[in-house]
Amino acid sequence: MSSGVFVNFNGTSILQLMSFFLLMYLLIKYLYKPFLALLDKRRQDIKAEYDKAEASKKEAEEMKKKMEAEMKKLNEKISAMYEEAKERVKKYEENEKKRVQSEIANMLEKGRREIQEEQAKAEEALRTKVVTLAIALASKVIQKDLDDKAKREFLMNQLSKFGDKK
Amino acid sequence: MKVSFSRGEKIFLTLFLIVYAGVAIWNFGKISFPEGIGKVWQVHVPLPSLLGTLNPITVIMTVVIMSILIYMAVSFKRHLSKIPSKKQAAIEIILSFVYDLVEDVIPVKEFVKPTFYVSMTLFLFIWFSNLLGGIPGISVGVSSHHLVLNLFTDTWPSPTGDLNTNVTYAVMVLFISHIFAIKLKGFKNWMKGFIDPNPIMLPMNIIGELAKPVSHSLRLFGNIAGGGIMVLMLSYLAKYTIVPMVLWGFFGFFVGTIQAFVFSMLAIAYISVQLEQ
Repeated sequence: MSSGVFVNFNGTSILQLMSFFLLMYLLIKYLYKPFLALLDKRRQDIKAEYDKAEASKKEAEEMKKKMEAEMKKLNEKISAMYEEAKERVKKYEENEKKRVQSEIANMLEKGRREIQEEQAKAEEALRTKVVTLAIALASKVIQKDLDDKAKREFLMNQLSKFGDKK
Repeated sequence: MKVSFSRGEKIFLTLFLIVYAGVAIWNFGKISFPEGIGKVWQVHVPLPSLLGTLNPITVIMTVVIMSILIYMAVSFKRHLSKIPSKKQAAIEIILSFVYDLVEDVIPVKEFVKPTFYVSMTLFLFIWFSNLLGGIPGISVGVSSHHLVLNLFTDTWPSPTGDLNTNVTYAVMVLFISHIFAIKLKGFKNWMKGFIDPNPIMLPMNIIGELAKPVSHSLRLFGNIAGGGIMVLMLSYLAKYTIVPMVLWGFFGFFVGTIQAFVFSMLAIAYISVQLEQ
């Protein structure tokens, strides 16, 4: 045992050097290598996640583009269909109009004919009635005094008028 | 700013101050001049003269700090996980701080990892030994003829307060930087670096290289050993009433951290200077 000045340089330095390298070796083995591996792993994981996110973003964009194209197509289709429908409706309307018009015309024709028929019938009936009436009248007149020539004439005129009217 | 204490804090503070004052008063009459100041305990082993002398305290404390660091490292590796715990996160912050620094400074990529290993080990070892120099502990001092055991009247002796450690590490950094340079450039180009602008500059370059480890080692040694002696002297002058705690904390934690950082930072800088082409 002895003592020395505190500013000294001796064999301790060799021990310090050895202990430093021993410490460095052990720390590399247990601290630095695992730490750096962890850093690398973390970086890789983050990169993988990032790539994944990027890929899914791209995919989504592609899908969006596709969807947009499809939408456009669909819109076109819809508009075409709309036009077609419009055309068809127009055609249908026209047809219907024509049909209705022709129907109306038919009905008018029919009505007119019916009226005419009715008229004819009525005239026929009237005539028969008038004839019978006339006959009855005539018979009555004849039954009475038919001497009067003027009266007879008048009657004949009347009768002929009826005949003319027809 | 309004400072308010809870009941428990008040009791703790009062007790602390009473004990502190009591120790100060107890110490006041018993302080003698620290005769062993400037002297260290040495042992002789049967080896040639320079190598035959050892500083046992430095060796013991080196072993203690090494075991603390290795325990930390092993527990770090054992509890390693991708999602870090608090302990792991703290270690990771320190390591990645130095690693980022090395990555920024070192121009050649393949030397980043070796430089990181060296400088990180330097930083951890020096930092821990400086921190121990700020905590009251057991140390062995020297009186005129015999050893004195200081039980918590002084801090733990730190290995960086011994010139052997600092000079060894500084010279080692010098050698490492030149070995890296030879590996990178080849022997011929490395030799050419000494007559870089002009052959006249050769002695200047050699002196500059030799001055590096001197300033590198003496800076750390002066800060730590000088800090310790300063605290001792001031404590003696103030009769150990109030000074040591504050000064130990200041020199151990504040100056210690800064000096550890400066030492490893300078090691990185010296290596990077040699690696520049």
